[in-house]
Amino acid sequence: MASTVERFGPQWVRQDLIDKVQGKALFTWDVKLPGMLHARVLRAMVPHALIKRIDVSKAAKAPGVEAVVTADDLPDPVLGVGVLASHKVRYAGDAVAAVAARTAEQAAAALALIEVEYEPLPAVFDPEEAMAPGAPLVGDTAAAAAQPEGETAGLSPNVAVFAGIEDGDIESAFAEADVIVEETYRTQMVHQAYIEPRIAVAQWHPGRGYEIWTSTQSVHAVRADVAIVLKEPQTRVIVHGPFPGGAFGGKTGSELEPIVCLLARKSGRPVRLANTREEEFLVGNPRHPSITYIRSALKKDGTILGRHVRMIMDTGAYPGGSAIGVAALLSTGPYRIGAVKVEGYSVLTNKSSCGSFRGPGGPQADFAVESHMDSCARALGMDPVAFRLKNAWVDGDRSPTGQVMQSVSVKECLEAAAKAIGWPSDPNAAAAGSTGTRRRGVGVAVGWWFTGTGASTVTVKLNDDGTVAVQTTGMELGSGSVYASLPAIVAKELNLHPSQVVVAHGDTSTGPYDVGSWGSRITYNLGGAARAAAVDLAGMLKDEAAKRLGVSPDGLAFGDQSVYVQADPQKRLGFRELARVMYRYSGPPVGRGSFVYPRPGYDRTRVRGDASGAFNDPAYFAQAVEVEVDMETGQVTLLRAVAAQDVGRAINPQGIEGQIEGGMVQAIGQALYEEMVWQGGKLVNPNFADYKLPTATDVPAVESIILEKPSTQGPYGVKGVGEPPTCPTLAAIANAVYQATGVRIYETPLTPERVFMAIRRQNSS
Amino acid sequence: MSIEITLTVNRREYKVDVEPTRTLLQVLRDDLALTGTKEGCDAGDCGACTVLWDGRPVSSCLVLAVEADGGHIETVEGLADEQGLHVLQEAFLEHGAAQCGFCTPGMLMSAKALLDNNPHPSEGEIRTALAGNLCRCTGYGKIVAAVKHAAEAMAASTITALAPVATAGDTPSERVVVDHRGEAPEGDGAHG
Amino acid sequence: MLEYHRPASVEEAVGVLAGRPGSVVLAGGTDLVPAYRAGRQSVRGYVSLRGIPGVGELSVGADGLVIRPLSTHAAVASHPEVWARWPALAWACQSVGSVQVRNLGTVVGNICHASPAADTASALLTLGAVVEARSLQGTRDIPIAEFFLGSGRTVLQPGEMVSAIRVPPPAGLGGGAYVKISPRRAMDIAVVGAAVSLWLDENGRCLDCRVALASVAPVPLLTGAGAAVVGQQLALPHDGTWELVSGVHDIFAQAAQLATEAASPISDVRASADYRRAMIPVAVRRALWQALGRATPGEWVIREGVQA
Repeated sequence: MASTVERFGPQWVRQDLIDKVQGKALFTWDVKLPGMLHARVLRAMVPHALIKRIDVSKAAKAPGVEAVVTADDLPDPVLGVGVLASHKVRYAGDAVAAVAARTAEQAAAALALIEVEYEPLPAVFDPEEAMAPGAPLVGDTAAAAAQPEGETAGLSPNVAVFAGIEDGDIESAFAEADVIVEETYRTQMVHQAYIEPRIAVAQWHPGRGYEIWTSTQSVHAVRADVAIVLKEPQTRVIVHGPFPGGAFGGKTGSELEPIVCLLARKSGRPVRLANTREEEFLVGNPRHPSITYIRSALKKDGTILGRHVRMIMDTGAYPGGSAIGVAALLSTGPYRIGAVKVEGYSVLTNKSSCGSFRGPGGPQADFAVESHMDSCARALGMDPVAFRLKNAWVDGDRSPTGQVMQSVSVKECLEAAAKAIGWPSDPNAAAAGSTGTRRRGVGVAVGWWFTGTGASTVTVKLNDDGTVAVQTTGMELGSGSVYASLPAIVAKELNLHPSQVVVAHGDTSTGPYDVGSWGSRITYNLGGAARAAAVDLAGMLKDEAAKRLGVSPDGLAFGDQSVYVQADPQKRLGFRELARVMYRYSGPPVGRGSFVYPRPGYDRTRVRGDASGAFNDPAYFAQAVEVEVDMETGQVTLLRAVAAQDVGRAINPQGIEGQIEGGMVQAIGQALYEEMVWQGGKLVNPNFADYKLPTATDVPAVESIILEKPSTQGPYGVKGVGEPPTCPTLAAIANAVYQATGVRIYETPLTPERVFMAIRRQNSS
Repeated sequence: MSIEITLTVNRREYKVDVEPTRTLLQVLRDDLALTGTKEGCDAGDCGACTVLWDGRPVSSCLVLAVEADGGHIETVEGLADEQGLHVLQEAFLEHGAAQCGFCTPGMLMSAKALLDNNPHPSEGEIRTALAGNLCRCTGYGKIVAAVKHAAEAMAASTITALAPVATAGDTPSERVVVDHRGEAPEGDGAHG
Repeated sequence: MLEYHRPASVEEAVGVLAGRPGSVVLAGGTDLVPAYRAGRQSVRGYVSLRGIPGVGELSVGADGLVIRPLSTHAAVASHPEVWARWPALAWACQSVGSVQVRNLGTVVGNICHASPAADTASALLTLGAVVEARSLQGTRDIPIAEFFLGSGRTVLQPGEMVSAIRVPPPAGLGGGAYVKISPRRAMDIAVVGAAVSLWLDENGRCLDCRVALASVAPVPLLTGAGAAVVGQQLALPHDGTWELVSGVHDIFAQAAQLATEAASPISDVRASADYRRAMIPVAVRRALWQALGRATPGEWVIREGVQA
């Protein structure tokens, strides 16, 4: 295993970037159709209420207004839960009605004319309060009335998901411990904050159905959602996916699309519906806030006898994604532990509905367990790196759910990151020696993360001139996993230059199926499908060439856009000629591929509820940072940031660096600056002035270290790349702050105020 | 009340009738179909709509179009010419400094304004010049490297050393001041 | 229908303001344009300043600095004379927002918006600036310390606009600073801002010192904390450079304490009152040291036992 041992292919400029640097790439924001109307959504201003009456008659007659819709326009209000509220709003932000008008200003003015009568209900904002029996019920009354059974018996029906893991005898582990370390960690609600807000444009073709352009991670997911909510067959819903202006998990399903379709149908005109930045913050699916109670039973020699984790995630108004299931498996860390017990809860409250944000569950779990690992090491008087190395998995170790771990690289990543940051030989002494107003410290954290699964299909077709097109509906979010990796893979199989392979991006009616760009899955799954399709095409080309050259296909190879006989390279047939004859006489030179593989096994008896049982081909990684803490203000300045990540095989090293650097900086944002602040059920900072993304002046250049230890099943050994960089950063920074100040911060973000107050408390105690 | 204004955009003159409520961003995108300039917040907080107005980078969502009457505007569409891409665009491609591409036009315009006024910026000066352009994809490192590289490439080229278009450079739009001397021995102000 | 006026002179502008109540002066637009677009501010008409000749110029002379209604933060922060003679103002302008915002936003707009967090307001308070207000009734001078009434409120009357801000020349060897405590290094609003301007005689005695604060009261706040510094010996001339005298640390600590006592911070989304209170002495002390450093150029001589 080494840093970029051998390049997979040549470095070249992928086609989408050439358009993007000229402002010519098409985003949904740029879609403009003849006669297009502009829509705005009326959103609840109250956190929890029954809707007694909605009167849109005045709005419908307002200047410029062409259509007004409410839940009454949905074919089935139950299917529309979370799309347009029918009888109840669950948070201040729920959509209640929508207006399409000739200008956005007219639509906004008409919203003010819609009368909504609410009957306020008691609301609950704290997840632990919401868990308690008797708490106000966030969900629909009928569903909520059912009392939970099993693992959640005795709790409120607001507990939407339970995820538990049990391995070994946890009671005995704590009984036998030399040292017990018990802590509580908290993380905040953060937003994906892509720069292009969500937007959808829809057109209704009478007798034919809906056509949608949308900023999404999956055209097929949008098609499926819209078809269900609007009760249409998928033949009557076409979804186009222009380039999304950032997504990070925030554009996985449908949100605006059903509403804009209703408006398009009712008005008979194309309609554009874009979130304002304020709405974007309010009605996105941000990262779940979390509370983690974690305790460990330790031996003096550094053995971890047991670890007990109780984790509560605040999922907001709707159940959303399953971050708790993943977090449950992550929450004890990639370590050998005698006995494990994890209890995870995802709880409804009257706030924005949380969901998937790059590595859902990862930063929350990793902040808790990797901060806690440092505390355990300090409690034992051990070096935090040495303590991790002593307990980290190696090949053949088992996860708490019994999965046999393979291609494990925790130690290699940790060693690489610690070396790069200049880890001190005696960190405990280094911490004690830190004095003055500005104190420096280093910190590390490790993690592991699965490579996402799901269906991908690709077709690869030979063009008339001997170039190749890859047909896909995989969404290019910016990493290059579609526009760089797919051509590189196809080129590799056909021995072409990647620039000879064009990506032909299709819509849901013309392109092959892909489930979506999420879960660090594209290069693995879509790449696997592209490889299979290229191999399929390669086989056809060789068979045809063998027939025409009168040789066996076995001795044939590819080069210079032709098939040649290896033993006699003069004997060859060009791709151009093959395309000509195959399209005309012997069947199309079109390869098809999907990527199928067995899922890893685990011990089902150890898993309760929705906890993840096993991680498919996990990636391992470590990050290290150096910080300077201003003891008088609590300001944490990041001086250096190092990320070492095992990617399995680096198909597109520059794109991988981009993922590592960008992912880590997003996590730096969560660690130091960002928070969606709620007061009494109202989001008080829905703007970039007070929701503080890191600027170019706030972060150092991330130093990325790419390691390659091939996965068991991915094409060429690739592992997922996109989500891991967000996971260990919070803990690495908090650990560095501890090293600098001797103060442990238990809650993110580490704002100047929070760090200052913690220092002041420590000084006064 | 609609008002006729004259805008010179990327060296080409346009006459447009605008309502006084409309921003320069709206007029560029909707009236002139120059959709390279992006909208990310409509509040001056993200920088996606950055264009150069008489050589200075501004958030075009904060400028009413009528205010820019008679002005020279440069947008991302004006960077490339028949000769090919601008050095900055080439550098962005080479360094992989764009991912989703939505902040890229604004980022390029801020970088162009910087290099027009300061051909040899330090890393700190580059980061300060780009601080008003939020990027959620890249973590900024590759963008900063690309701007640095472009500056070096421009310095090495005599062609690009010619004066920039419009009135850029008639006053320095930004002066980065380094003044370490005034610091107390134990440490200086938070962000001085 | 929203009106747009582009007067050719300040006289004409105040005529529009008087004749069309509900009209507002549009300067850089960085606050007004998004507020109107988001429906937070109702406007009958904009009175543009861009048709007025010289309306963005800065004048620097023996009698001081004149900031005009369209003088941007960038224009002030790129003027070498401002850095040399009114450093608190230069640093404050440099700390505003981003390049894009500094190229549009104006100092006059910043004070008329009257945010308690206005960066330039506290600097102008330390410099004894005078706000010149024009209306059809004539011109009046308002000391900036009397300009602010509350968050978003000033003494400007309907029909009145600020035609200039006049900043007097330095009253000796000048130094100044603006220290902004905020989570980010750019694009941020002060959690606490401290502006200091101080002037020394040639022997290093403080002739005058003023300390003002941002984000700690309903208005940008001129404190009386400078009183602890005025008349004090802060440095001694020493072979072309300066020697730091003992006791400066205590003098500055006392000033910081006085400033803290003058403030009445509140809790909001950006910080708690408690944190703000704790940051005032830190920001003031740092600003005083920076200001002293700028007033006494060269490497300080620090004798053993003198606490800096």
